[in-house]
Amino acid sequence: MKGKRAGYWLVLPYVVFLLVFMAYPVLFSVWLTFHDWNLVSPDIPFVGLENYKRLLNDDLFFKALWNTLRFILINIPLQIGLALILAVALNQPLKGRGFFRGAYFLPVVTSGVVISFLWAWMLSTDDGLINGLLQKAGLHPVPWLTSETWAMPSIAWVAAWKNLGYYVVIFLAGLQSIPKQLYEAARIDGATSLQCFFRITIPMLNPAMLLVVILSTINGFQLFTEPYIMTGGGPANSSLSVVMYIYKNAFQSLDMGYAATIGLVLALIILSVSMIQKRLLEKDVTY
Amino acid sequence: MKRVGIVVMALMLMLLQVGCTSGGNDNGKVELTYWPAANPVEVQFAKEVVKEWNAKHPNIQVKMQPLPASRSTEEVLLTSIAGGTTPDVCSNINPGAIGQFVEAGGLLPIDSIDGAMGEILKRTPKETVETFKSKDGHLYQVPWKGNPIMILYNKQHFREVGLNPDNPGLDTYSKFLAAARKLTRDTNGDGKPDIWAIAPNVEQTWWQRFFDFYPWYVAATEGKTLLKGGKADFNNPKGLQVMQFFRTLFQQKIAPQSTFKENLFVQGKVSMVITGPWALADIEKQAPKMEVGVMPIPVPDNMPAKLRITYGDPKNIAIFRSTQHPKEAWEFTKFLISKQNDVKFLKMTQQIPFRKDLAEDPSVQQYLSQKPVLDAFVRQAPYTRAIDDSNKITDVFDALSLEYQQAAVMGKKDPRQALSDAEKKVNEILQRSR
Repeated sequence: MKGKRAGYWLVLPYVVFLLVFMAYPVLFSVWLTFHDWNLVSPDIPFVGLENYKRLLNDDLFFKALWNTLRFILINIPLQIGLALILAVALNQPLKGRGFFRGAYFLPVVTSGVVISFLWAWMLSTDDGLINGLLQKAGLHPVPWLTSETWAMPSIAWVAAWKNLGYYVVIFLAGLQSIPKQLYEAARIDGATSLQCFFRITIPMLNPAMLLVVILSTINGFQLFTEPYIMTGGGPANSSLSVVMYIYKNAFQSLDMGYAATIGLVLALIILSVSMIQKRLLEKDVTY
Repeated sequence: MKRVGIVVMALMLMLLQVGCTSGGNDNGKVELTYWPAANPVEVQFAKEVVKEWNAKHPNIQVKMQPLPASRSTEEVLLTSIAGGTTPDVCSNINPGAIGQFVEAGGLLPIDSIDGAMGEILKRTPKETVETFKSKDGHLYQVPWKGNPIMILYNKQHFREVGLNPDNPGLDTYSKFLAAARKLTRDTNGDGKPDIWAIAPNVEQTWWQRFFDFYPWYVAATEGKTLLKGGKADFNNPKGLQVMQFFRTLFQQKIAPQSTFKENLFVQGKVSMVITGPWALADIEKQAPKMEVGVMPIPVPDNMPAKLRITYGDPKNIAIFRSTQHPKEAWEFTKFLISKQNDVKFLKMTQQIPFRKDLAEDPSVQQYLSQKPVLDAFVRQAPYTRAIDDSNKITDVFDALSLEYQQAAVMGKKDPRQALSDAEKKVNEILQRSR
């Protein structure tokens, strides 16, 4: 009994932390969705479902949601494809393997703001590195960040490049947990490398794949730094993400109630999408 | 086991304590926090002023902390009002945002401090002080500096294309555009321009319009601002002319449709830049050999070219209501706006304090006679307008900015349509805020 008491005391700091920094803000923001608050006014009038009604009629919210979906649809396949290729390559006994593993991880630990600035320069239409190379090859410059068509794909590429290393590490861990005997047995049966890859590696990587898909979807819905720095949400709101729209409502228009409403709806969207993904992918998981 | 509990409790109390230390005074000592703008020259100025003050006032120590970097000062200050972490004194207050701060109850009315108004009126013309009074008749900001937006140009570039570098005379839209066409050049023969006439920012960020649409509109209308009587007031022939002007600039590829993160003017990649006097210190440092000229914002062709009003970009000083020591905060502010410091500020940062007797100071006269460009800014300073005082001003500029981007920068929308869409949107925003 004595020992048990001490245990409670020892977990208390974390429980307090959780209540103060997690539970209270979450409950407060749910409460806020029914109120109109400009962040600083002492009176916070109750508005009922007004914020939710406004959300349903807000074209800009749906545009931001659509932009974010576009981002995810480009970003995830790109990220997973590249990460998988790199992970398989880095799993081979190459020379300088440690260096490459470190090099691909470097962008993950670099500040997103710095990376956004760097890529904003490289993607600049008139004096950027990439258009310079394109023109040397006799091609036309592309307005990467200043056209409605290209802004979001460019951002999706930058985000994929930044986070690649993180997913490579997950895939590498997955690859190393595949028992060697499986490959040996397949070889004896006369399987080619390609057959090994598609029949053994890919199915055995399923748990890692599930993790990567869910994590990068959640990350994708939280897109903020790249468009905030690189395009400011433009041109013509074509790269405005949902989180940027929350930020704009909260800290530019001081509409905390509405911002909280969008935040809550976004959280529900992420929750349901993750559940669906889990259902779909878990079916094939082989442990 | 009780002992473990006590230890844990004590630790937690200590942790909580860390977050709550504030301007404490155990031995009669007052500590003030002061936030200046974060650009290097202003930080340097603030450092020197604070050092001098602290040496003279051992009982009122000021701690200087540059405004945390972000997309805008207003966002930082509003969050700190909400979080209760405001400084005692801040000298980077945009009068357009005062409405929000006042509504938030974050500011101390300066006129409630004994002797403050007398001191302010001794320094700044009454009409200027009047423009900074809030709707409730109180003054919540000490007028500090006004920075007229003008056009700086590279004289060498002007010479190269046959423009008179000392008096280019680009005072109307058509003259300006004709010269700009000449200035945009391909110098290395790769078929694309590598020197641009001018490169206005193409981003949608609302305050970028302080450097293109807004000063042009103020100049074209001889001093109108965006709102009148709580409604949008910019959908008129002059507004359209301004929109058309920028559309031409981008459509004719005189200005690049790119986002740049570096200073193209000091690199010699653009010939003209729309900016305030604060840019001069930076140019002197980074491109000391560049010959710089200055000209007012151009106006539509059919306008008499005498009166040129421009956007003033004023920044003022506010004392926050959170201060425990209003009297000491005002004493420090008074020191900050003393003649000695105003002169120092002008010379160090090349920005212009709102002081009527500044030019009478012999050292300033001598200084300005060697700095013709700064002198032009000083002479333009009385002819400026700020932005409208509205608690929705960021949304107003945001709406306008979106339409500007579509009509002028991208050329995808008819300027007439863009202006009337912006007007409609702005009126909706203002309606909602009431």
